[in-house]
Amino acid sequence: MNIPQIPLQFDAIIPEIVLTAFTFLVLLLGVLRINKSFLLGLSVFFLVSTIPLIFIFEGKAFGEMFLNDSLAIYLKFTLIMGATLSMLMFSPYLKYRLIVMNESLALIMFATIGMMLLVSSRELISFFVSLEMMALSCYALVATRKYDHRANEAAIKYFMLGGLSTVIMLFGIALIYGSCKTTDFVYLVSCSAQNLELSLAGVGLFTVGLCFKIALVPLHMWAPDVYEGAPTPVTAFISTLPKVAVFGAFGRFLVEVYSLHYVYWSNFLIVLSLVTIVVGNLLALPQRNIKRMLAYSSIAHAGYVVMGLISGTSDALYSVVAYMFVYTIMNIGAFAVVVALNEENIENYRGIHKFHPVISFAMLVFMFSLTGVPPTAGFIAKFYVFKQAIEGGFTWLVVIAVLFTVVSAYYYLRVVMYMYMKEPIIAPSLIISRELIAGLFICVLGALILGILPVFLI
Amino acid sequence: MINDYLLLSITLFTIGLIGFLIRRDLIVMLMCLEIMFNAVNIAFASFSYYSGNYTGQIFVLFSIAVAASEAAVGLAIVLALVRSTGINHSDGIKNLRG
Repeated sequence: MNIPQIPLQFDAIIPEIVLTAFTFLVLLLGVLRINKSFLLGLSVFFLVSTIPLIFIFEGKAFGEMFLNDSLAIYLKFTLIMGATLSMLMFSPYLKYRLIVMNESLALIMFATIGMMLLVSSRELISFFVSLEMMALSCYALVATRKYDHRANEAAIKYFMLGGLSTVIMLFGIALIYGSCKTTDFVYLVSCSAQNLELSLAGVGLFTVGLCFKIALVPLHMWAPDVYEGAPTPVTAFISTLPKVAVFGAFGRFLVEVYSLHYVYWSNFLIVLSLVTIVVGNLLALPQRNIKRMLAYSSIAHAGYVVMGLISGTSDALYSVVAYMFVYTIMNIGAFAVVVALNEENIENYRGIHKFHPVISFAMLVFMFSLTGVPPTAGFIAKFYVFKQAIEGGFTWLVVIAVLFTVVSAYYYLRVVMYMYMKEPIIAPSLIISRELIAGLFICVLGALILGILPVFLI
Repeated sequence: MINDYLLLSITLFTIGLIGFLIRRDLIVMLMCLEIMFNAVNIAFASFSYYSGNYTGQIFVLFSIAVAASEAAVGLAIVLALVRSTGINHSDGIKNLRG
């Protein structure tokens, strides 16, 4: 057998290697009973210090199997930023001992490494393994509160359905491999026309498995339960970042590798995005629990992102990545407000702005941004995605999506309405820390600056 | 020949899937997940054997490793659930309305 000579160059993977070393260091220091808030600061420092590394080590590693190009860099920057912000949200829990600190930090870092590898992998084995690295860390993160039975139920639901989706995806990969005899994306491009039925079945099963992970509508049932049961900082993490990574990797897989099958998957995605936008927005309307509401809203947002992907150009990929960047900022920001208020029932938010004007203002910005109202980043993100869909010739789909954006204003602005226009009953107490305030400040600033000066976005 | 092996793989996968959907015991559901993993491994190995390409066999090794870590995490979560609530079947999971 003729084994091709692959030059051993692994510059591009150095950020991941460094972050892995840092993660093991955090695990080790966690055992040594050092100060928890010091450990939190150290983990945040480690994550932030990998950011320059991603920009420095642009390029390929292991032949073509690992690619750190501009799109991957953008995604990795989003991932590290989101992981840092959700880590900052753990800080108020330090005082109240509500969470297992060391393991949570290490698991967040492991999941981040998995997602970084996922967006760079150009090969199905590493794609699968890094996806599992992300997913397994997320299951464990949901279950970190060991004696909270709601968290355990959420974890078991997440694990069982996630495991099923993994197996279905793996079967799809097996069929893709069977049709092409290779797992390398470079060779998959050239052979995707052979064995059409087999490779279509494979890509179909692969897509179904991934749709489970990003909670698109026929496969979204687990999301609200898991997001409600998990500790709030963990919810912020698992409701944004796995979606960023999977959308990035999956979008590239469809657009760059299976562009020959465009006719088949674009129709499939049209149906998926339409159903997801409609059902996600309608089911969010009656929710009284803010975490459930944000869960359904994240399902609806996934629908908008899929719509951006439909036109199947590389510009469409950029619009999707930009959307995920903005979504990370505003969604994690909204969850940070939920952490600070320590209250999940929306009706208990009445009149909060009289006691906590700054927090209320932050929530106002995030809710307007999630709706997509002009001076905020959410508008710009939606604008780019809709523009891609219109250029692809799907104007009717955009009209429906815009109509359902109007529907979404009802449930987003109800939160603002309770905060600003109702009379307070009780003065709510905050659980807050310096780190959380810093994270909130970054999110508000990001949501406003990207909305006013969108040049930073693309 | 390869069709026989693929038939075996698909049959095993279906058995695992049906078991996963109709059984209520969490441990049995985990076992059904493992059956499905092994069904996929058979598909990989047979594709690999009949095409003379070794990538599939390497994939099987990775898939076994992932299945093992998945089982470890899954059993840990089931154990945490049983310790905190005493529930070990999926009908008992109804605190979060879904």
